[in-house]
Amino acid sequence: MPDICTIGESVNIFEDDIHFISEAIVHELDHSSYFNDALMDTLKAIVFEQPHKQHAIALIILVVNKKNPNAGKTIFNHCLNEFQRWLREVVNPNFKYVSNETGAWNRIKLLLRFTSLLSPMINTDELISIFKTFFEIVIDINKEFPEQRNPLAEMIYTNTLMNIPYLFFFDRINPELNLKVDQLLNYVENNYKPNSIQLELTNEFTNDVHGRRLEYSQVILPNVKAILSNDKKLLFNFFPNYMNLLPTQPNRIKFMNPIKFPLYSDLISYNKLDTYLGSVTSTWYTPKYNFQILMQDNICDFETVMPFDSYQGFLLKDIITDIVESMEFNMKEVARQVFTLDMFFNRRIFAPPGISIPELEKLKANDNSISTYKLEDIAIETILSLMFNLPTVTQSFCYYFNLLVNICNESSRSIAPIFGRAFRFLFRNLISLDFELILRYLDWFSFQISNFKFSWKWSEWEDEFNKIKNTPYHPKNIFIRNLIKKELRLTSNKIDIEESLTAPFKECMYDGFFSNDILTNFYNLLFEGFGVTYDMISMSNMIFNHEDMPMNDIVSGIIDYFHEDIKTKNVSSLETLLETLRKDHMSIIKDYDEFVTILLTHCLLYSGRRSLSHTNKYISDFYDDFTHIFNTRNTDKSKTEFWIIKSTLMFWNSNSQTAFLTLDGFRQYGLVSSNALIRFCLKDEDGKIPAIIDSTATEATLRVLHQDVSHTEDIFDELLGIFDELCKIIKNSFDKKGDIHGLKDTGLMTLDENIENMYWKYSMSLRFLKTILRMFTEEYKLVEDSLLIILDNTIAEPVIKAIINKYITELTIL
Amino acid sequence: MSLAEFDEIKYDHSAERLDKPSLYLLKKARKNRANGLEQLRESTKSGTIYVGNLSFYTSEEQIYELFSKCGFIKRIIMGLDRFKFTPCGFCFVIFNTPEEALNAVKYLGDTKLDDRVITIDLDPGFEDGRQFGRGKSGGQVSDELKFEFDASRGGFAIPLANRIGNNNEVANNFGQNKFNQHNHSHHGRNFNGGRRNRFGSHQHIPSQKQQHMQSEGADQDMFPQSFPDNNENQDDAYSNLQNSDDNVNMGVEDTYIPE
Repeated sequence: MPDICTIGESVNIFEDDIHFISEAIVHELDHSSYFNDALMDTLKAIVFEQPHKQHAIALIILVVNKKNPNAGKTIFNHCLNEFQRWLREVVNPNFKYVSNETGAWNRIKLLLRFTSLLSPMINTDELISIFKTFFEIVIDINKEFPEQRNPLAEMIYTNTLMNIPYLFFFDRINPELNLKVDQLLNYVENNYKPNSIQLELTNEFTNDVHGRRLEYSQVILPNVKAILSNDKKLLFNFFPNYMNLLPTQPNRIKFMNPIKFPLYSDLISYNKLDTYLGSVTSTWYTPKYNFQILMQDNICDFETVMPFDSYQGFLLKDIITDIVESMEFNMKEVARQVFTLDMFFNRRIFAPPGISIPELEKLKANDNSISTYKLEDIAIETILSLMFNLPTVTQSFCYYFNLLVNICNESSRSIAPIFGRAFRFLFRNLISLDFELILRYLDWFSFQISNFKFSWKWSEWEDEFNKIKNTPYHPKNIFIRNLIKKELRLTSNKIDIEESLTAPFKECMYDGFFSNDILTNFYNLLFEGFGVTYDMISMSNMIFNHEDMPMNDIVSGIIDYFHEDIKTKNVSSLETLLETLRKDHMSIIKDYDEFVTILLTHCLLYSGRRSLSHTNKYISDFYDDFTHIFNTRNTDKSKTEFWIIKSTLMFWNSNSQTAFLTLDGFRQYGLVSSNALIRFCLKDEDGKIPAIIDSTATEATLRVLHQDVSHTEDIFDELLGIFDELCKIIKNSFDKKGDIHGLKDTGLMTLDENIENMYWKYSMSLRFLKTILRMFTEEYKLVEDSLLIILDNTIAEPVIKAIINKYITELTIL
Repeated sequence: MSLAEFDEIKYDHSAERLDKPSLYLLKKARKNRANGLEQLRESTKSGTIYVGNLSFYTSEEQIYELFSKCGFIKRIIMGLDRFKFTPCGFCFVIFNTPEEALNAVKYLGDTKLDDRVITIDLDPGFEDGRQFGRGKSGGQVSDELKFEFDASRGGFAIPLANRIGNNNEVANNFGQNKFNQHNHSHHGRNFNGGRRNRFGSHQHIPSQKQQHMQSEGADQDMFPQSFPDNNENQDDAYSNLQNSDDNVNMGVEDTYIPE
């Protein structure tokens, strides 16, 4: 038997495949339970995982039904049983979700679509009654929550409406069906209107890049009505025409048993969709908007992605989303399927596969009727919209990253330019892009180009970079510097990176976490009557070991102590060394406690510098000694923590990621607290707040919070602390930059450099605050009153207060 | 030997899953009648993955940067040449949860790190000793079966003389004693284009005794003297036996150890 899973992939043998497979089913069905089970499982898998092939499967069943109505009925009844099963699962609190599970409601959507495709063999009244019942549920829920957005109602409404055109896929000339569908649409239109809401917390941008965001629930009804109008000409031009393969059907089947829908009382307890209910279903928890990246721009003066406010654009996005989500276990297959999607629709609605924009422009000039909708663009934009979805993504980021790499590998000549367009769009809009999305963009960009020899046209960003390189808080400056650092962390061959960069960017390769002056000053401030130069720091692996350091022999002794066998070492020998240090060198040491903390940290890091594992092993072996020394000295804990953090970053100044990962180790052993690390990341040092400027510090902050959310009760202190600190930063930057009312996130090139920098500091801090609130919604909801008190106490400016207030209000919706 | 659920034909998906044990693991489990199946089951819930085909220059930090996108990493164990204690092209990554490890297998397979397509497989769990290469030269067995020059991997795994005999014997002995020699040459041209190793210096390859003398205190605990047995190694799954004819014309200068 041909592989049912690949049905439709070879257009030339499609008819043969339908004939051959249907023939085999007619002969084998009900002869062995193994065959029956295997067949039903396979059909189910295709319906759920490759929804673009549903019509081919439906055609097989319609052909089977003609040849053997009993076989057709058996398969149809299996389909109904499956439908019934998932209607039970939507109210099953014990259902186990795996990563490729899109959710019971999403499966119901796909089964409804499949059932609609079988319309020529089903009693029309019974088929329409399923749609009607779903709409009744929507209307009932809406009656109970008339003024609010209800996620469940919105989802059922959108999914049910989306499937209505499928009723006509094979049943094209059926006046009864036409009439009933018209009545159905009138019924829902007259009785339900989804509440529109523009949620700021999930807005990808701070300004109106695209104008008002299009909501799924708002566009679906007009989309369906438009595609069904004018004798469904648009619809029949969109769907492939298999009418020549469709045999006349015997009598329409009635349902063996009526479908039982869940009780309203059971259903209503899931109406908010606020527990995890599968990857796709759960995206309805918050209002769903379209995210457009590949829009008409200066690269091409026509649209290459079908508009979302058209049924075709809407449905394609839905189908691609289902393929990507339900087949996450095989991204290679996903890549293959989404790029052959055009074979399952009327291919004339797409531009020729793989065509470039210039080629398409030429074609368009010669023939204006040619479609400019590129399947590659539609697929990539959909994947990007999943990757950039807010408030959360449905799969691990690396799935989307590597899926896109796989797609690019398949056909880099046609795909790479699309990525180029997306990269440029996001770069252009960094001035208003959400903080979290900047991090995702950074990760995606670095991952993508690391798979393609780090090649990028850096020259096109040169002019802009030269203008902003002295504005540390400018989002493009932040992005470029972090991107280069990230690239460096992804390779062991810096030369590759250096060669890929043009001159202005090469200097970023050598950016330290702290500037050379701060670094030198840090060590100088430890001494009086002794000076440290930058050359001494840069020429030595560890400054205290430098030959010009007066205490370098003691330092060597401490390092030797770290190398002693863990079983035989005795902390008293370390104490003796420190006592010698005190006696011999106290005259040049400003603060002995600070000096000892920094020295010991440096010696430990120096000993474990070979790798993170080594460092962690040294921390594990010597944290007792550290604790003992600090306790003996009775040093203030918060000061000690600050010294450890700062000296770790000083030691790893050129590789702050290693520093933060090392600090995770210190944190694990209690030498550094989460609060101390967060405070450090938000502390203005050298005119820069690490958590906003440096992605390693941002990631460290978020890592700490994500870990602590499930482990410690301090999380509320930490979250309120961050909120408080960010409000202060926002206020201070606002005060320093003056009037912001007239300013928008669109350039500001005419402003004084310092004022501009303060503007961006304000803007980025506000965006970071929004990200933190969104990421930890559940926790922040519980301390909403405290947030309002902090806001009242820190910010007086009404405009800013209103913005943050709106975020806080929206917490209850998220 | 039947591997229960791993041998079953399943129809619940329309495409094969990528987060399943590799053919190598299945083969290994089939050979191990005592607890092969159990190990296979364990590999799906250990939270540990094996990463192969790494460049010798790839660092733990790079691996962190890549794999942390799949989940929270508890530990990375670099695979080391058991004589030189230098990375030899593989590692184990231990995630916080089994799901994260499965995600890494599913999502990061065939991605590039240091411009090399890495291989990822499930693993039943790390045990001390498994971090060492099991090849006779100290590195991975698969490298000893390779004959092509692979700069980012670390050059030639075994000096030409060791692979095809000394210069006088090339014509007669090619292919006969390629795995027999252990005494590495300590001088000459390096084949990685003079790249520095990760510790900041050009790597000198000392004798085994020197190595132990030079290793730091902590390393002695970290790298115990108990070397692994000679059972099949994970790296065997990725061995890539090349046509040895490619190397026939290589000159005597190729007999140096790669860095």
